[in-house]
Amino acid sequence: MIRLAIGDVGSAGADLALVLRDLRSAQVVALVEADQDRKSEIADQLDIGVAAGDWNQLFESHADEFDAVVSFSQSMIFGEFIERAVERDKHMLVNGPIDPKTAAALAKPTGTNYIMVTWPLRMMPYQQAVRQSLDAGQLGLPGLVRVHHWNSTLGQPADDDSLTRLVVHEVDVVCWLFDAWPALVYATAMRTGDLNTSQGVQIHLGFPGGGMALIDCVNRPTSESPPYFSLSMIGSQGAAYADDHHNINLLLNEQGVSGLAVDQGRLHCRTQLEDFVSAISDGRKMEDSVSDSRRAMAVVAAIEAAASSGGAYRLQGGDYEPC
Amino acid sequence: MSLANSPLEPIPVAILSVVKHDYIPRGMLAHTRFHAAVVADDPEQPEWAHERNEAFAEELKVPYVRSVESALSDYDAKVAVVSSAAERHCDLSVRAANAGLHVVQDKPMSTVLTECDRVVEAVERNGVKFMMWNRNFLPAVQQAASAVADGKIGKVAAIHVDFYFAKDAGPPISSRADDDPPLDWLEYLIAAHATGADGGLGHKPMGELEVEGIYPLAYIHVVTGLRVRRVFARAKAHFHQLQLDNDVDDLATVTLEMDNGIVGSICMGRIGNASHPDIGEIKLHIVGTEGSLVISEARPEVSVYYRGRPDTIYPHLRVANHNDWLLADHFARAIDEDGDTPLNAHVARHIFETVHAAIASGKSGLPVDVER
Repeated sequence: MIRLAIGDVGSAGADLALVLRDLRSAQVVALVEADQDRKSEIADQLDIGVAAGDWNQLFESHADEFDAVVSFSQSMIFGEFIERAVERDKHMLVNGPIDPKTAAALAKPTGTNYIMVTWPLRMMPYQQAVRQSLDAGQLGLPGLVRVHHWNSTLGQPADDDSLTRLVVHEVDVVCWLFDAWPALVYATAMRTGDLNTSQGVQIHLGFPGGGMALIDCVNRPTSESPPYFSLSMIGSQGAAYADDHHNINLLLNEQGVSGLAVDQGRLHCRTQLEDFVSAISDGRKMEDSVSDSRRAMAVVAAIEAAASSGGAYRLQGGDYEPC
Repeated sequence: MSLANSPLEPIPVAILSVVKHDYIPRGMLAHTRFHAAVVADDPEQPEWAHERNEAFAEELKVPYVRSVESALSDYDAKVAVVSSAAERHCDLSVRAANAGLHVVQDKPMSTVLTECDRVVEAVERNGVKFMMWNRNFLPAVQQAASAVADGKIGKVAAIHVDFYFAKDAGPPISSRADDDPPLDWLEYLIAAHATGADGGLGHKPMGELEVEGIYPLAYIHVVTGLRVRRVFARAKAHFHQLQLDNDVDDLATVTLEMDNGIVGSICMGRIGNASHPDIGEIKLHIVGTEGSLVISEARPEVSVYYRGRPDTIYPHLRVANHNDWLLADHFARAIDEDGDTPLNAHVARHIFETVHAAIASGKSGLPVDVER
């Protein structure tokens, strides 16, 4: 039974607790949570004996009481947290992306611990269904992936409206489905003209062998506009369409007719955790997940450059250069 | 030529070559204002073309003449409907316009830009009406255009169209042996007439961007009214041996940079029968400053399932679709009132320019400006 220390639970607390009570081959034994009330609530729900206010405290005082650390932070800069976990040879699950410097350091593992970078968008039911069809050979060779993601609820920090935050998860999903770095990158900002405000951007990628992807990301406060997501994968033998439009029910009342989007829920984090735990149990290599983070960040950097310059960027020698 | 003094007068139609799908002349003739006067083609056309033309004339119970000039002068036609192989579209349209006929033409406009220019010039010089056939009066497309025009989503910031045809176009890639000859384009398209999938009929091979690109680009135009300034495209033959052997695309994506800073895109392809239960996933996604729209072009539709349903019959039937009648009706009114047609020669030419800039971008991997 792998002993997990979890932290940075954030707003997913109650749903996460449901998942964490029912993990195979793992048990939550420690919690890191700065908010006192939330710490008490989750600790009670999961009967967790060890609860610390921050990761340093946990590592200092309870390092021998857990095997793996799981951070649900969307922060991207983990730095010291990862260093402490590596020092103590702890297995580690963090949400992607991670900053390029940390990714470069983690690309050369020195201990016996496993480090997995996971991506919430990959783990959601839509993407898992598409990937399973692809892996089963039902869709043939991937030819085109088209993504629309408006007003994502992936937990973007309120004070971070960067381009990276707007598009990195979608870029990762597309690269994951093609299992490749894009050979060609082009991007156009939406009408605001200023990428830093991240109103929206359209990304156009060309993959080796001629595959292609279009990603359209828009971000406005959800108070103004609800979220919407769709992903189409067109393959040489079949196609998959994962679309909120197909998954809307109707509400009819005195206000008229409105749509009720059927939520994909938050239990995708169970898939993330099960994947991590089984990888540890199986001794499965996880370095690919770190390199996937480097890939996503490199593509995002090319997107930013392309949108600013108005030109296309080509992958050359492991980096993106203007065409 | 105007019939403004007699708005209900029947309008005789000369059908100039109907060697591929015949839905355009049928669509026009379904309107009571239009009636067939003659079917015609140039005498030097191959016998298979004459056979198809003759069969159509026989069905309509009108003469078939092996002379376009005779059809234009001797049958009192006021409108010409052109459904020939694509490389002849513009020449037939120009000849009809020069004879004083209004013109309804099949897509694509042409295979050559200078031919499009000839049509624009001939239509203007002769003061006749021109309409490129389109799907802009589908109920869902009209709903999208109305919602935008009514300001329901504020100002348009982005517009995206998916236009996938879930149809096969011959055998899949890797289905012929390496030492077998490449598949012949014209031969295959002649055979495809049986299924109606012969929109690319002609000597010159054409990819999906060229054959069908007008439809999504026309949707974008009817919603925004704006022109495309620059494109970036990726295109390839991903499904079919025919397209691969003839170096044209059956899958394409295009980023559009438009007037007023609007961003657009189209994704299109002939993606194979297996990839959708109906004709294909055709959708509009429109982002505005105050809201967004997600529109399924197929709706309204009714689902019908029954034992033994052939694979060639789609389970979802489009209903309340009066696109063809509305196109014909608007064309009649354009003639009667000297107004504009739903897709005139200038817009059709711009769509052609956009498609060809996209083809060039797909080959180079670079963004390409759309000529003005």
